[in-house]
Amino acid sequence: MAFIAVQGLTKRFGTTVAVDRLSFAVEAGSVTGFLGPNGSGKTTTLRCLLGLIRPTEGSTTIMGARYADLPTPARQVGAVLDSAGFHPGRSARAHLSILARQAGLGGPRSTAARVTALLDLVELGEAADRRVKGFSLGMRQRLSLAGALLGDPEVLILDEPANGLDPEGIRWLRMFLRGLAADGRTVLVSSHVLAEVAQTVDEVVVIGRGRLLAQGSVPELTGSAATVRVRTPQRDTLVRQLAAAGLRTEEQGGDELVVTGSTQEQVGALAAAAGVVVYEIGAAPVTLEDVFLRLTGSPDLGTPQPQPGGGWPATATAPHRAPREEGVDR
Amino acid sequence: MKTMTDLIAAELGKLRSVRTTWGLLAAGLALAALSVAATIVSASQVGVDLASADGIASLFGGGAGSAAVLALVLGLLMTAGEFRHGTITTTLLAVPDRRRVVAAKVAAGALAGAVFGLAAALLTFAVAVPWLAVDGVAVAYGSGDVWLSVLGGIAVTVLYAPIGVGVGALLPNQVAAICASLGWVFVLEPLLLQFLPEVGRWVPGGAASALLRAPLPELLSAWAGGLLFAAYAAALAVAGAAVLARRDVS
Repeated sequence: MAFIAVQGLTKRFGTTVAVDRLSFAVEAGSVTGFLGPNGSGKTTTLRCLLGLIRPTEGSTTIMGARYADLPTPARQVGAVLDSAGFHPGRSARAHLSILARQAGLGGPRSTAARVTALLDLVELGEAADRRVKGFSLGMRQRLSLAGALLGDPEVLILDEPANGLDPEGIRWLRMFLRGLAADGRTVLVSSHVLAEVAQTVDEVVVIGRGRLLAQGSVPELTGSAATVRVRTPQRDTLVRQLAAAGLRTEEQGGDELVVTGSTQEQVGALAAAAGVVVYEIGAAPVTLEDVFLRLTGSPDLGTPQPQPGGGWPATATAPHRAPREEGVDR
Repeated sequence: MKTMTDLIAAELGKLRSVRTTWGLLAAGLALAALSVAATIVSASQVGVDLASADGIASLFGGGAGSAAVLALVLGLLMTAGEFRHGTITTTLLAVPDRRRVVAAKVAAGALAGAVFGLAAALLTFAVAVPWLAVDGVAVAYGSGDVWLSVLGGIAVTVLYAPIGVGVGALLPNQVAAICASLGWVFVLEPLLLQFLPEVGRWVPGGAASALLRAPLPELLSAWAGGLLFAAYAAALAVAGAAVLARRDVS
């Protein structure tokens, strides 16, 4: 069942087209990465989904209903949005307590225990009664997450939750998202960095310039773009061996070699068969830039060029090939 | 299911949980004390009889209405402040029906305005009554002049908050909303009341002055002024809700 459905969504701001006939669906219980470069229309799409922005055309539904028609939205959908702020003079606890009341989840007494539990869950227990003014970006992000979880919603929508977090914060967030997924919640999380979500998501939706470029699993998306990095003193021998197996290679500086479209297992086996000494072998991370290159033939994230007949897996949605229009993220 | 009571309670919670609200209340009380003191001190110099209807209106209406402009600012902060701090996103996610959001803010703002007005009125009595007794001015406290002036002052304070809520929804840039509103109240309206009273009596400040029974020429009657001022508050709140309902929040 499609928990989240976006159908023919178009949003124009004046003459700029932020989202252009976008359609995709998110299944119940899945964690979906919503990927695209900055300015590709991710935020506008999510804001349309949440009833904050009025679509020019098309519709968005969550559990079959428009967001505005959900009787108590906080019980069904939790959202963490970039621009959602806090009053600097209010304490974290007061923020959540007021939000709970506003969302129809109960008065301060009945929700006090839930508020405390959530503050502990996002590791803000110590800071609960301090004013948000002194909070770091990471603390604010975690307070946002606590707010999104107040109503114990089945669906979570997170817009670039890793933005501005330090590596430790990103690690924490990744674990947190895994926990949400393990609870069986449906999660839609946007990012412009594939690596941020690759380990957490089941599915990805890729957009560029407001259009759908692909939807599929992460292996489907990255498979053909996967690369292996090898260091060997016998580079020429290995290149010949790999070429014989039909693999493309690219020589880097020193003794380094990058193999495209293969696995560490395959490259390792071929090196052993040729009796080549290997100092180091590892998977090179696939970036969203690589994926975009595969999808559009252009590494320029801001201006992806639709490429007819690109080598994209058959399971993925074909790239749209309508004329390009200016897109802008709002 | 959230009720209107929940939404109003949440709005009151927002007000209570930040220092700004208490700062505005303190400023309102300081203004009330200042207004009473200035009126009494200047009365003997300009020859106003504080026991007369005009004197009573200046002293008690002026004192009780001292916090009105601060209630206006409070109302502005309730809507424009949410845009400023980005809390509007959270609010609208919790309550997608934006008309209900504005309605709750109007109700909570009016309640806060009532608290501001009552506090200013009490302080006015606390300062004026002993002072007038010492000065030997015999004011008939049981008279309608006193009570209607005080009620007018409280009513103006109550109604200015929803006006602020409406203007803040129409003009979500907080700084612009505050500057425009204060410029209107402190510059434009006094000029109109002074030099074009036949126009000035119809503007919100003219209607509020009538409700305060201010000793100015060509004002409407207190009742007509009160009704007009209430109509302005309702119209601005409705307009604010209508504009907010259509606005893209990003």
